[in-house]
Amino acid sequence: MPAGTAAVLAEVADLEEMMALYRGLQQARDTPEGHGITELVPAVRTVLIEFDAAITTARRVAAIAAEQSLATVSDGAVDVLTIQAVYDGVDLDATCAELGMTRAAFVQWHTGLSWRVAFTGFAPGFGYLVAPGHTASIPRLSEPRTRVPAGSIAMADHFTGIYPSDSPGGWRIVGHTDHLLFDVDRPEPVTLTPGTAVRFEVRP
Amino acid sequence: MRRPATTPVLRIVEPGILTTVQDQGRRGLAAMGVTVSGAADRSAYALANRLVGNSPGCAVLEVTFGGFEAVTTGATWIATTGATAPLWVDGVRHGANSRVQVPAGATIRLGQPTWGLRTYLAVRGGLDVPQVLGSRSRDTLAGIGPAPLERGDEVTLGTDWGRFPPVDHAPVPNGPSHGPIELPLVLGPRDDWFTEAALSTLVATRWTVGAASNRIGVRLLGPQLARAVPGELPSEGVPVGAVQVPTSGPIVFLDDHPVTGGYPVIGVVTREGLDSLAQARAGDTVVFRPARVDFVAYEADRQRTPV
Repeated sequence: MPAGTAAVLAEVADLEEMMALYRGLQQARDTPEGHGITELVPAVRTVLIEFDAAITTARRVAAIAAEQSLATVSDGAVDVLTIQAVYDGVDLDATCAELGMTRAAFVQWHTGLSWRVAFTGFAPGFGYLVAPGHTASIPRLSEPRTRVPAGSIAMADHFTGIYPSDSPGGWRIVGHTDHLLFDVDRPEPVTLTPGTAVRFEVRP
Repeated sequence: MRRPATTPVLRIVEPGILTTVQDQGRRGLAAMGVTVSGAADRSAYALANRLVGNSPGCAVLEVTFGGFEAVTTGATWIATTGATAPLWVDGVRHGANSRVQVPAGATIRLGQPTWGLRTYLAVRGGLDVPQVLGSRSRDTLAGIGPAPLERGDEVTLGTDWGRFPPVDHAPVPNGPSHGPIELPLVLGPRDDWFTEAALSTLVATRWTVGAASNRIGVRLLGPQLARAVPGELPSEGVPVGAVQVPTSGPIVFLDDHPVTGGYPVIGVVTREGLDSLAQARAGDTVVFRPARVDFVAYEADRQRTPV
């Protein structure tokens, strides 16, 4: 679909296909054919592909997107980022009730899942984490809080997220971490980029 | 490291409502959630740099609605472009879109613009403030890049210059038009979430620029755009210029826009249109002019396995 004169939006069926498409586009971007692609913005079911209209065309970019295989590949050994978590969030009990679990069962469940960053957005450093087998949908708060402290671990729909800085937010806060997700002075300013594998561990 | 005392600076006496440092912004970081940012009126920004012989990409000041005053400690050249604000150097009036010589210790003052909103003040050599993620632009949404200028701030002048252009003045068709600002618009990607009547309304309406507008986006006041598909859509990437339509009415995203959003985007304004829109004040009227794009949405011919 066209998104102005310098971007196209590629839509697929679901998050799994989106992740496969995004991976393919990342590789295609480095080929001569993909020259001119300036930004890839992965999201729930779409990847926005921005390009330099002086170098390439919407048609060419759309054709590249259509060529990508949407087959889910299991990447072999990936580096897993471990995040030390304290499960003490203000919404923890409500979330446990929502999932029909005790606190202990929730912590065991949340730390046992293989999370992965599906896409980012909302704020620099904020990653939408998904995990295979976690399909329960956790509702957002009806009224977003005006301030959620940096480091809050929160859940909504079937995502987990960590707030990189103090910001408004409507997700259910289940805990916190001291892990700094966004620091412009680091060579890699953002910890969570699409595709990053994450495990939560209870802070000793 | 302390700079030698001889490096000239621009000392801010009066920053006005909002003065930020801007350049071409941050490219290639959208997947991290970092938007491009950069000068809101790109053509005025580029012209300001050209007039003083700066390399493209030099940082300049984006002065919102004038009321700006600064003293330069070294002799230099400046140029103002964009919103036509009266310019005084040591009390002597100078023209816009021209190269102006500024002696050491002189006071530079910008009055309220007679037309437009954002004036670009380029200083020869650019502004040597620290880069954040490869750019000196202030991103007002994410709060990264150099903070908006305050009284007493000192901005170091750079040395990133080339030769002066052969002319020292550029004719610019700026100024009040006798009608609404025209914004070329490419429909989509989510125009199918709106009724046919809404699409007609979109291009037939004279929209009014709302007061709650800033570098993130411009709110437009006007009729309701009826939805064919109700509800929110799953978050998706939005480009600069996207016309997002929450129930409160359309918002046209400017350079500090969020990289993803959950409201349908009915169309996207072209870069030329955004440069015009960046100069719109609350109460100004705008119209959308459908622009052709050499691309039609198509379904990739795939064998999908039913889920």
